[in-house]
Amino acid sequence: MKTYEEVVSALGQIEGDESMYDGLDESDLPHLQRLLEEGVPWQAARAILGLQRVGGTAGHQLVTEAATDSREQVRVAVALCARNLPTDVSDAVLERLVQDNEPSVRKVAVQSVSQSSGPLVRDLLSTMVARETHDQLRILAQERLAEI
Amino acid sequence: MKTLTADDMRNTMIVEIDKQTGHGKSLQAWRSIDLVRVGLGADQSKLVSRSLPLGAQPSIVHFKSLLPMTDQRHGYLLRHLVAMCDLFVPGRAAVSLGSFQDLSGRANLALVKGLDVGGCTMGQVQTSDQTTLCRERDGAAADDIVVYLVSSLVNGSSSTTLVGCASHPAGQPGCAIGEGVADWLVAHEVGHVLDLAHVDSTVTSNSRFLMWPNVGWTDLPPDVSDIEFQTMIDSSLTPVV
Repeated sequence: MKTYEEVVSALGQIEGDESMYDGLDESDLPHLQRLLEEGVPWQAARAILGLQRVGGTAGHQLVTEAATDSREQVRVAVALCARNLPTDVSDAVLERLVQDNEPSVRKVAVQSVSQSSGPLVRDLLSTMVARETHDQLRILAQERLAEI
Repeated sequence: MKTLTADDMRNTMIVEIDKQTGHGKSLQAWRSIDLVRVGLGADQSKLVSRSLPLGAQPSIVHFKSLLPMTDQRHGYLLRHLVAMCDLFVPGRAAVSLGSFQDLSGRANLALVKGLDVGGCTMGQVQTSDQTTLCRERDGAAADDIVVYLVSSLVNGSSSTTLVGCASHPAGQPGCAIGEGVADWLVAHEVGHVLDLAHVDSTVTSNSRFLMWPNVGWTDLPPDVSDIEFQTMIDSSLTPVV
């Protein structure tokens, strides 16, 4: 079993890629949860992506809760991994994040909406097309809606 | 090792600039930004260039923040700048401060604050986010290096995040960094811009080098090898007279 420090080190790559997560498994969930809570925002964001990959149901619950995290970087990570979550979990986070206050979070959330997304998420995307004040985001939502 | 506070750094800078410029007690009244500008920028002939070989010029580095430039963020960038100068100047691969700019009010950049850098591979096609961001070069000459402070760096295609990335469109040298990272991140990314590659990460003892691909550097400050210094000096972006 890995130590917390080993997990922190594994997730410390500067130009990190998917291989960062290769050595992690479900037994690392407590370390990832601790990193989410105690790490600086970029570390917490990586913990989210780790929880999505190896956390199982308990990990996904933490990811869902993190959709309301005060740190923008964490919400971006939640939006980013939404496309790889089970549909019900994905819908739960996207319903919130496509309406996030931060345009950069909304952008990633829009990009994570997929053909498997539920009707409410699609409705919210349609609402963005009609009401989004940020021009580029409105176009992005329009394109995404057309694709799905 | 004791962590330096902003006051410690300011006082250290005052002492060093006083030693080399003789500005004396008047330095106490200067803003931190002006101390840095004089120390590493406008008056660099008194500091940086005396460490350089005859005819050599420092690379100019500009900092542009997509996040509001609070004192805390300003201090973060200053720490990285000073750490980079400390590492590079002894190897005669000097860098000098060009400018700081707050871009947080730009509506057209609101989306790239969460920057999609794709796979962040040098020399490959950049993402539309990188293309948008790297156009922002106010005040930077063609060969100057621009460091962009962003909120998040993501690879949208593989659902991963990065803390720094030096891939940039041709002719617009620069890199992007995130917040809350150890003081050598800018030096690491500028090293990439000046043609440095990562050291072999399968050799654990390489963690003492700046170009270790992980923030877990050991034996701080990290080392830069003579070959790496020469690579940076030979970079097409390093000014020659």
